[in-house]
Amino acid sequence: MAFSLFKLRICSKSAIMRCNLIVLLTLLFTSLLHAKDAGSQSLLEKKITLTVKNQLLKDALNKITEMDGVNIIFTGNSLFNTERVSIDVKSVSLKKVLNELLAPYPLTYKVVDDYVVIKRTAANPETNTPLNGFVDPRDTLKGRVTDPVGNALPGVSVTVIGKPFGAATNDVGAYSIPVSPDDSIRFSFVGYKTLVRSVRNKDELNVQMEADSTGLNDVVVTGYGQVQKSISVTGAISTVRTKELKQSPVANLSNALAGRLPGLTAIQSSGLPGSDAAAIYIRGVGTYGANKSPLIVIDGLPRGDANFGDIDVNEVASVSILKDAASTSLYGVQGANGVVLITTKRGKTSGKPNIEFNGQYSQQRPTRLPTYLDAYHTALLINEGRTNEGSSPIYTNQQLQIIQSKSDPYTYPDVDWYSVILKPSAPQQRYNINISGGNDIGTYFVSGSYLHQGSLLKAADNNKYGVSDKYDRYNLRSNINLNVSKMLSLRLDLATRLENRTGPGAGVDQGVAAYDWIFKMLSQYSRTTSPVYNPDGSYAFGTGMPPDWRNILAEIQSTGYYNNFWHSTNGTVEATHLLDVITPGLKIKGLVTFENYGTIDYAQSQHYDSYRYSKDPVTGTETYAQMTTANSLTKTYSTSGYRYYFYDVQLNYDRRFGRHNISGMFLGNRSYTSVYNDLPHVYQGLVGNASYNYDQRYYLQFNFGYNGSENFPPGKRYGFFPAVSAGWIISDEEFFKNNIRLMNFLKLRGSYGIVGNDQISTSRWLFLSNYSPITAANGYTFGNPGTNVAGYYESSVGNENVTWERAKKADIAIETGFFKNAVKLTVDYFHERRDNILTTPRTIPDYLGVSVIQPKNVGSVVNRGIEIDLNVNTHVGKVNLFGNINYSLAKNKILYADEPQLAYAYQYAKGRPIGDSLGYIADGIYRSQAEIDKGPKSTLTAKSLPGDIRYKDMNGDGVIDAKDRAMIANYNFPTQTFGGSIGFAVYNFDFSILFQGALGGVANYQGYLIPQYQYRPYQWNNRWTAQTAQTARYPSMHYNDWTNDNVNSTFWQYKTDYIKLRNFEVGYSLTGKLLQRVKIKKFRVFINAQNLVTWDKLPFNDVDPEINPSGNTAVPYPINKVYNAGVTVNL
Amino acid sequence: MENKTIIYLLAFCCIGAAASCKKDYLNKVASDNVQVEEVFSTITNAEKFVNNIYTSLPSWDYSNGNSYTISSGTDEGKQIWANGFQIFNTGSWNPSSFFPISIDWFNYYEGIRECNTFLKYYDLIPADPSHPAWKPRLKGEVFTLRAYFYSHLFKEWGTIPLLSTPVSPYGSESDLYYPRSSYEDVIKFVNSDLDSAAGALPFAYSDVTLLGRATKMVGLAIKSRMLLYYASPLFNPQNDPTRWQTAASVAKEALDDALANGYVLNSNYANVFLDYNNQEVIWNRPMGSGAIDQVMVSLGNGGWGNSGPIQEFVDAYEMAATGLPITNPASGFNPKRPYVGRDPRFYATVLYPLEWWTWRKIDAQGVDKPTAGQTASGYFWRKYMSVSTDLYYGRGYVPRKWVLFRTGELYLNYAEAQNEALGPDATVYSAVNAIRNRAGMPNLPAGLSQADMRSAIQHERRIEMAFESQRFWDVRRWKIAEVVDNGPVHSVLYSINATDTTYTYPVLQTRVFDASKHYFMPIPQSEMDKMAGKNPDFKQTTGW
Repeated sequence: MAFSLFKLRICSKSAIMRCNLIVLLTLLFTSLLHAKDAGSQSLLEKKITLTVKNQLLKDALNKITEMDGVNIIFTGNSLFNTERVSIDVKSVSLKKVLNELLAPYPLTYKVVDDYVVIKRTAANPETNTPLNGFVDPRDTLKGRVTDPVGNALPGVSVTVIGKPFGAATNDVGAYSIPVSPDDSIRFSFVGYKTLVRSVRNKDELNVQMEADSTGLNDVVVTGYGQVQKSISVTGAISTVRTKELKQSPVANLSNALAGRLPGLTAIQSSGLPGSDAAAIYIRGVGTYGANKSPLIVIDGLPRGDANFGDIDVNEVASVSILKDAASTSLYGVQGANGVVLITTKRGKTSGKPNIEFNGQYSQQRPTRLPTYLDAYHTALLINEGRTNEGSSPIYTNQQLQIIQSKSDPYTYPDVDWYSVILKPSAPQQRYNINISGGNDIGTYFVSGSYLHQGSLLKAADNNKYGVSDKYDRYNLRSNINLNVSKMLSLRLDLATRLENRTGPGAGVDQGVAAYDWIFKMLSQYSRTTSPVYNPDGSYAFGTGMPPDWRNILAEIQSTGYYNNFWHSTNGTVEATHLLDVITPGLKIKGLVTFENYGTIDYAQSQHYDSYRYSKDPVTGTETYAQMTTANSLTKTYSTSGYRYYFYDVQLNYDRRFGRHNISGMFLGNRSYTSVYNDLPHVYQGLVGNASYNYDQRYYLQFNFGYNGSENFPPGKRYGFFPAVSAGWIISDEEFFKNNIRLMNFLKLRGSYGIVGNDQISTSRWLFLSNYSPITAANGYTFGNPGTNVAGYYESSVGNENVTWERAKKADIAIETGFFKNAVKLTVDYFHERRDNILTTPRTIPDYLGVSVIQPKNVGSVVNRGIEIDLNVNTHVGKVNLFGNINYSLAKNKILYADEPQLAYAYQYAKGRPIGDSLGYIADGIYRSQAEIDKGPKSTLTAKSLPGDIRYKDMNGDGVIDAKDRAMIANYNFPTQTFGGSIGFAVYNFDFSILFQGALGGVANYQGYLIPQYQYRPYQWNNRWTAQTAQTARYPSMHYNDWTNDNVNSTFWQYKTDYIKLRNFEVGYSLTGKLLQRVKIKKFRVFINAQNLVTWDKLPFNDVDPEINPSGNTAVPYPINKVYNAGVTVNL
Repeated sequence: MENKTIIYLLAFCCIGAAASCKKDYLNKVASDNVQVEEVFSTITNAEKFVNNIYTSLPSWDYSNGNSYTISSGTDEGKQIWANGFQIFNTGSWNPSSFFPISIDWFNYYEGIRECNTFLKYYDLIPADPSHPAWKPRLKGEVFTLRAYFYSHLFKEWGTIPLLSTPVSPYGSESDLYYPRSSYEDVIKFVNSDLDSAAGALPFAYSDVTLLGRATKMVGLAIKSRMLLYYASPLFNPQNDPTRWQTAASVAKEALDDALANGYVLNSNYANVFLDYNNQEVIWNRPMGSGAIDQVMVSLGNGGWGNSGPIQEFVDAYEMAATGLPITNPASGFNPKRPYVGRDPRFYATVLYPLEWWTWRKIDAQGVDKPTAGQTASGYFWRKYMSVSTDLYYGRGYVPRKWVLFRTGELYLNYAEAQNEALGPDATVYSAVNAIRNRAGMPNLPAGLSQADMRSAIQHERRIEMAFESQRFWDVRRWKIAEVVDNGPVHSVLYSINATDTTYTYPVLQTRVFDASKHYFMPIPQSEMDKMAGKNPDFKQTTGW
């Protein structure tokens, strides 16, 4: 038996025949149940007992279904909802009952498999088609229907327009229908856009249905590859799809997420090619433990190499974040920080292959670069600092004049190192070609991508080694689905990623990464120290005070180069087998996946010749002192490697009993990661899910993960992480439907559950005591003569009670749709309490004698917030308008951190947000010596000067010392993030724009603002001087002793609130006959840009507010704006 | 066909499920982490664990790592550096700040934890059939070490928590919090440990490689000293005479056993501290060969001259010929030549102005004068100092051992306890005189009252065991610290003219001792804070 097939009579002139959802689902089960067809005809003989009095026809039919287990399918004919019937029979054959019930109406029935299908009696006299026969079956059209993800869509209604034939797809999405060569076929399914395709002499037609974006029936991918309609989702999940992701011309996918998803915080802190990923957090941070980051899951599975940002965007169908316990509990012990779930694309059963080409070219420009004072002003400030401290100026007036006139650039240089080293922009290119397609045997999606990111270093392409500094990435993916038999399907995915990073050899002798070293020097090298070149053209050399003792240009041009190669390959084989023989609706899946990844790092480095030039001011004699000497290249290299395996076996059950829908999943899994330098990491566990819904109105779901982590001691490794969730679609209730017009959808959902986080520490085996040997040389001495002996000591005391962090999460949400879903609003409130946070205990008595106290699971944090997601999708005339505003608030507070009784209450971490640290409360600056004499005495410096920061004497003892430090914010993490996008499409133009912002972050710019090497305009303009004593905002200049000001204090804190114009895009799609003639389906050109404008409240506009400056003097590789133009061609 | 596939699949599924049940999938496999089984599965490794416990024994430098010596915290000396024990001189110490003694709290408990860990896993250790005494010996050593650490804590804090197992810091809170046990309980605990050790240990080792390990003799010495403390006024305010009697009988037993096992007084007092091995020492801690010289030797010899004996201490030495204190006009003391004719132990203990040391004369007002801002007494250590050490050239270093117990102390323990228990009988005299005679001092005058004898013994203890980390605690247990460590202390200055040298004694420092709280150490404030609100049974030392 091939598949179920029956015909549907078109019941009205209206082109679309509406099936209700129950019918479709029933059809799905029809397919599932087809294996057992014996006795289908005897179905009509089944004895029925039925008593109905003046009820609607549909209720009478439903009653038969519910009471007697006969599945009756009836189409959305108005008769069912209007006609009332009465019947009272006992043990009468179904045939008789149906005859009696349907007789008064133009309705007839037919048995299909185990089902009775009721339809309208043939009413078209012209065709006069017998119900049970095919008319002129000259050709049979076959094909397969899939959803946007490539999964088979069973139960899709397939009709021939203008003909009374109908068919539905079977469980693998396949259909077969008799057609004439010039017929058109309509595919319709609730929640998907109706498709019409012409037959044109084909005998096979595969289609992929697109989700109807106005519907709430989008498919949502949840844990372990499960697919759910969003209407039925009872957890908190947000999804962004390819279209939006592709609007961001960023190299790293993570940077395309900011502002797109409510509940997600993305923080980019560097723009370094190949290392510019944003850190991702879900619902803020809920722990001060080691790992605050979400679990990364790709195609349903946790991966070893979780750099999801380096997957090419063209391979990605969607990125979802799972936020609450109901959606993450499947990942049990790893799910507490939320889950980022990436789903890759799959082929569609479109028949013809779809070939897509994407090409883009961009220029990347720093959003902001630090600005520094020129040498003359720097020298003035240096002198001022000296004078303030009571010592003699460094520069004489004559020297100042020379500096100002720049007349002696070799002795008194003024080098703007940023412009010497950096060029204004760096190129980026990316190309992708992908081919997808499929038929009822299978589908495929094959994609290849290349990305090139250039470096901002001027010398990047200009060095004697013939290498250019860059980041190259190659992504390959092949996702294949095969329908081996009607019972067995296979999935075979292979993906690989190759990355090459090339850069200068700088920093090798410092043990620092090249770019870190270069940018550290750049932001610390004073302008007055050294010229770039000496008069004779040799590299100049600095003064010998770090970090000024190198020549930055030479460090880039003449220190060699490095090549770092990253490789990552993964493959997955999954087999799904239907187990209808055991019970209908049951299937089993087995999956094996592996992943190999690692690095090959190779560098050639050398020193360069550099000289310190000096000229005798009297005699004019020039001397060149050689400071560094070139040597030949020296190689260094290292490799690392990882191998990850994961396998699971999964049982799925999905069945409808009348209006009761039951589904369940049970899965056992295991993973194993070999690590090149440590014991392998292993996990195993069981995962389960049970869902029930009644009439698709009331939803109830139970999920659990029962899994173990080797991080915990035997007997305490496994945890049970349950979550319950429920949903109620109020808008499907009669009282709602009949009374409320504007709002077409209203759903309440809520969840509560427990999830864990086993990545609580950077070290493993916390539960084991570790003993360290002491060599004889270092041991105790016994004997005569004295001889040292070896020893052992307990170097760490195992915490035999170590366990996972436990998050209890509650979520309650309301989902609405207005004006036929043109406007949708979802509001979530969440409350999370994280316990068992690994905390270095501060209340363990010393008399226990433990020298190294391992952390203990004692900390607690509460994290609460809301998420609002507003979507608009409508059209005004020919203009398609879409917009989204999302807002997230997440505030955390430490409830317990095992602190001892502190002498000063303001020093407790308890009650403060995560990330606070001890610092002084600034109370302005001392305007005069008189104020110093009056105020509390600072012990931070030997001598306070007017213009120094005044701190609050918290304990009132008249002295400013460590006891006056209070907990102050010191963690540049926003509590609120929001995104707003709007776009429209009209004719062939499309336009979209995205703003994104963050509020509530506070950062300490101490290292950046206190001049240690470079002086900044901000200091020049606002510093304390005798003249500006009353108005100055910034401390007076020091030269040697900044100790009073250079401490963590609120003085250097600034709010990092910002709004960024993250992204905009304009596209134009070519259409017309020309394209058709050259067989191009689609041709779109577009320009887009990223990070165009930043608005913030920082008083200096040369630092990106996303960068966390916390005490660093070094400013990292800048975040980039990207200007991009591209083309997409579909063949 | 179809069904077969399903059966295969089901079979696969079952295998998968069965495999999942394999509990040891998550078990850590052997690696370079050293686990407890590895340490205690062989007796050689277990011995290594014991070896390391010995590193918790005290030495000349406070807590074996800080260049401070406790002698400068009392009326023996003064440190020239303005840190370390200075706060004990000025009385400005408190629970938040009494470094370096504060670190004893943790250091000894750390040693105790190691002992407890060993005892917990003792049964894992396989015995060596060819050396049946080996395994019990280790246990005896550990019991002795634990007793020693507790006796130290007892001396400093009096009442202390007693832990007999390695308590996990990760258990429930109620398991972490202990009260401070009474003196009686501490004594009982330590005695019980020492009794457990006694059966497994010899009085002395014939195997020279074992020298330095705990012996039965060490146990007796610990007991003797501890019971003496327990009977002393600070611990025994009611003056319960039975405590003195017990102390006397244990001291007698210890002394008899010592003498019977070859622990006899060394004929040369100075060599007790210089000879790497000598028969008088019962227990010691090897202290390497250069560090003490570096810290103590005068500046002119390349050292730091950190702790100088004060004038009061120098003045305490009697005249050798008469056996009389220099304050007695009949003693024969000549203030013009104060360093002539003194108790011979003076010359083995103190380097005084214009004395020869190595190739040069000590010149406390010249090259040996410390840098500005530091004040020195004008005297230097001689005890323990090796004359061959040449700090300038880094040569001539000689390894030495810090004395923890020696037979000399047992004589004095016995004399003191017996005098308090029964009065100055002949055994008291003979014990004290044995010490005096060995040093070259005359006998005590006959007919001393019990009180006079008490003073004589206290004097003898001060002189005999100078710089041996005893005086600081002795003046506390005798409750005389409020006198001797309170008020001005002096240094020496001298001027030389053609015929004469004149000595003057300016005030070096005025010392402060608060009898209301300074006798016992406070619990470190950080420790109190940890237990605030959680362990009400754990109280701060009275007065603090």
